[in-house]
Amino acid sequence: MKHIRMIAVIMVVFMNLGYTVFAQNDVKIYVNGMRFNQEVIMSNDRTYIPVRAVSEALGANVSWDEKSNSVYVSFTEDDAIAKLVEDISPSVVTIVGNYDKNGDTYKYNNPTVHGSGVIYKSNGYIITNAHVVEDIKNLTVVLNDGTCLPGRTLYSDEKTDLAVVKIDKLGLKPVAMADEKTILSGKTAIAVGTPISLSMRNTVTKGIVSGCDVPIPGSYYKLLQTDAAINPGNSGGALINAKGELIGINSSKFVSPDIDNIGFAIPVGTVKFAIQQFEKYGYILRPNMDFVLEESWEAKIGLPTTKGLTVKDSAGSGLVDGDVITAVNGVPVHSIADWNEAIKDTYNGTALNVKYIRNGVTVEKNIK
Amino acid sequence: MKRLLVLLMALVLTLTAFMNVAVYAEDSRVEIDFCVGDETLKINGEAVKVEKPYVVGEGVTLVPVRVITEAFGAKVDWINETQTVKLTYPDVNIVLQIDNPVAEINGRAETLLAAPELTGGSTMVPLRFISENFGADVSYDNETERITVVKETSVDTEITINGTVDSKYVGDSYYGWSMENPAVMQMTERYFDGTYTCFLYDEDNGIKISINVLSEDYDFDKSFSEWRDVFKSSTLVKADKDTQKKIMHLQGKDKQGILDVYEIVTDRYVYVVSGHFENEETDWKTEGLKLMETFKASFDGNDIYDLSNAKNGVRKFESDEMKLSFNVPENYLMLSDEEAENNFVFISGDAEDDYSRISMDIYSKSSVDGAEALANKDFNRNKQYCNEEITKFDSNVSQNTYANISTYEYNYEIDATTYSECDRDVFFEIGDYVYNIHISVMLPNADPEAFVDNILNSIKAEKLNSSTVGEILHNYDIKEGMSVSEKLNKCKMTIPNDYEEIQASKTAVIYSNGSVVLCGQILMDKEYTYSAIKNLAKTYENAQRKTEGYSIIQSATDVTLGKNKFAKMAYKGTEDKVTGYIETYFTVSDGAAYIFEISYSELAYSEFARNQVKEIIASVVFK
Repeated sequence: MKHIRMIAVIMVVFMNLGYTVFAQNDVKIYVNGMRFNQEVIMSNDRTYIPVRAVSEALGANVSWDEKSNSVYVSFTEDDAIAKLVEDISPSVVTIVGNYDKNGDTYKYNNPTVHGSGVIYKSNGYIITNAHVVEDIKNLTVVLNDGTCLPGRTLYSDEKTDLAVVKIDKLGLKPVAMADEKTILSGKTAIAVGTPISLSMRNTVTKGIVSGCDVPIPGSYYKLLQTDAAINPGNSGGALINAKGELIGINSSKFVSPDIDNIGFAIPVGTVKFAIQQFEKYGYILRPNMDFVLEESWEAKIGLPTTKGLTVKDSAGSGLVDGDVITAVNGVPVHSIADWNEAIKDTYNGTALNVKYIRNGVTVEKNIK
Repeated sequence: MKRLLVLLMALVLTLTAFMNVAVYAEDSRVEIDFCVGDETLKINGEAVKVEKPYVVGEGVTLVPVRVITEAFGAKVDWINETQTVKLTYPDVNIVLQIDNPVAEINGRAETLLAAPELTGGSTMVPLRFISENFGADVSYDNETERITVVKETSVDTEITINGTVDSKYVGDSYYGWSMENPAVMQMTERYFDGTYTCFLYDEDNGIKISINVLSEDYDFDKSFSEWRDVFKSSTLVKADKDTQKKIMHLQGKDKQGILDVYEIVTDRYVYVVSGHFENEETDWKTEGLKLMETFKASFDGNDIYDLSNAKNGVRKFESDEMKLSFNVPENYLMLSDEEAENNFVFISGDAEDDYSRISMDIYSKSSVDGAEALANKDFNRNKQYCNEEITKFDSNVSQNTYANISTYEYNYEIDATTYSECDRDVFFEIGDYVYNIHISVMLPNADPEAFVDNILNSIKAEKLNSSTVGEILHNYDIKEGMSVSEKLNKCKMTIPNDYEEIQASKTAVIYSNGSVVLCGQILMDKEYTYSAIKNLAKTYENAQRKTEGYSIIQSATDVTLGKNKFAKMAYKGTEDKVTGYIETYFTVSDGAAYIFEISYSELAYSEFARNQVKEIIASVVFK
């Protein structure tokens, strides 16, 4: 009898030593995706949480008035924005390196170039603009906390202007990607990145989404337009919504004495597409087009039109010069940007189903 | 008593099985290899038998947590009440719960594609999710259903970005100069051979340093007056010269800005330091002019950042685009354009009459039919065009190897009147391209063979991607065939197509193939007869006879070539250390005198070339 009791006591002691971390009950609290580790009490089917800890985890201000035994919890939009910036900053990095055009690297003083990047996988995968990592040598990634690590460009695509940089670090906080359908003009857009100087690392600007799917001459795909201030150095950085989700990768802006606040980001839909293609093939699969497309004058200036795209310089793919393409893979196309987007959304390596008008007759055919 | 002890120990043992000591294999390679359905997995090279992994949901492979701990060395803790697994790994802590699709990574909730399960007493966890978060790559082969998880050993974490140099001085140890560090300026250009360095504030404001090897005919005073001429169109503010120290300093200004020049001459080099600063940039002007004052034609003292790339007597030439590198003697200068892509030429810089050189050319294999074909083509062509009297070629193209590169090559020596050299022409192929490196060494040289071998053994070339580099055509094909020329008044002649027309008018024509020059001219100042023209030839001959360095090879003689009679006179001469051979043919037609003068460089005076010329002269037909 005696020795059994002794064993029981020892067992309890051993168990207590290891297992005091978790709450006594089974309730887990997550605030904005992060595990909330403080003690929670269940009573009468109600869950009681410490008010200050959870409120502050949300970004609210909590004050306690001893005299009146009152707790004041206030939460303004301002607090919300500040909290979401705090939450997303660990996912935004600065990419800096030596500029290396024509292979001329001067030992003496190497001009440095920098841009921004966004961590999308916790084991060190960063998305940025292709133009940030082009001609860059000695690529270095600076994390939000100031850690500097060497990085290497794994994939790059000029047409999407996206590239993937890899660093050897685990346990990073990846950004959550927004659902494209939730991105609407007028919604908040917050840009996080490193404009102009490295001393402005991970600074923030705020604006709204000015336009979605905007075709811009000079961009292969349509872009997201924003008035959040974007400057050189912001390239590759994050454009996030009020939920802290990535809606775009900041890439460019219009610069002119009479233009203000017109900046562009690569929409998250295109970012997801690029990442998926990079992971699958190592590059972005595009059909081999042995013909050139010409858009109508309306499409060139951005005027809505029902006109299609005229085939030129065809080299025998089944299309002939003068054919007017009106749809590809079921998607109507009226501009070259439409065509690029349609291919992006539907092409999977097989033939293209093209609907076109030849000599007044509409034909639908699969071409390679 | 014994029983108590045993129980306790067993208990302790079981507990330690869960609270195992973590052996993080963070820096060593991790590999897991198996097919879905296997019971024995290969983990880091060892066969391990575990509870069978299986697939749930949409292709999520679950493995026993033991696979993770064995492979990665992660620490695992199991909390029975909450059925929770805690995995601890450097930088990554993962918390999983049986039948809960929400996992935590470093406290952050993430929804898994499938929840962990408890099967046969083993905790089964999602392989990809954990492996990827631990830094491994997971690949799945659809056909063989084989899963491979690989984590490579970590790369070094040293960042290599470089910025500005902060030493007090900057300079070149090879050419021997130093100057206070113009740290605020950018060094925008520096030639491979070190003869030019440029520091700029911006494109109109900066300092340029040029080095030239001191030549025999350098004249300090003449150079000074030439510089004064440069400043003619501006206001000369300073024009000092110290003939003893061989330093001159000139400064001039105009509406735009100020130009400041120092020229310093040592027993080996001439240093020209020139600075230009715009008038409105007062800070840059003050700072820049002060910096220039600190320039010294010596590299001594402390804290000098050495820009020179000369090490152990050589400079390593590298072309990133052509993935090529090789050593070039440190006293060589780069003759080819810094922007040139497939042609690199370096010449000896020390003495003026040292024509030692290295030239490297790269061509598409398809354009030259391969290294062996090009080697033989060049070998045969050079043998044909070079003067047999002064050259000695290998009997044939041979094979050799340098630094793991197999080559086709031939050697030849030239023993000319004013110089001797030995040459090696080397050809090799890598991928879709053919490389041709030609090294000429002026003699005397202590060990020309070793000199050439050293350069060839230093070659490093990587295979080029032909879709990136593109097609490079070989560009000096000899044009075959002959053409008729009727440019010279009333004179028709047939000329080989590799002779280019340099000048053509009714009274004078000049053709050249690069080493042989043929001139034809007409004299119509009076009525000429054959004897008059013969006398002219003789007069010309005597003039050459009297000239120092010239000697007559063939005195004016009548020869009949083709349809015409010519007075032929040939001589050779050496002037300015260059030796040449000249053949002249004098004839008349319809009262006009025709004089054909052909000059050959000594090297080009081959039997083949002379026969070619004979045929040209023989083809002359007068109207």
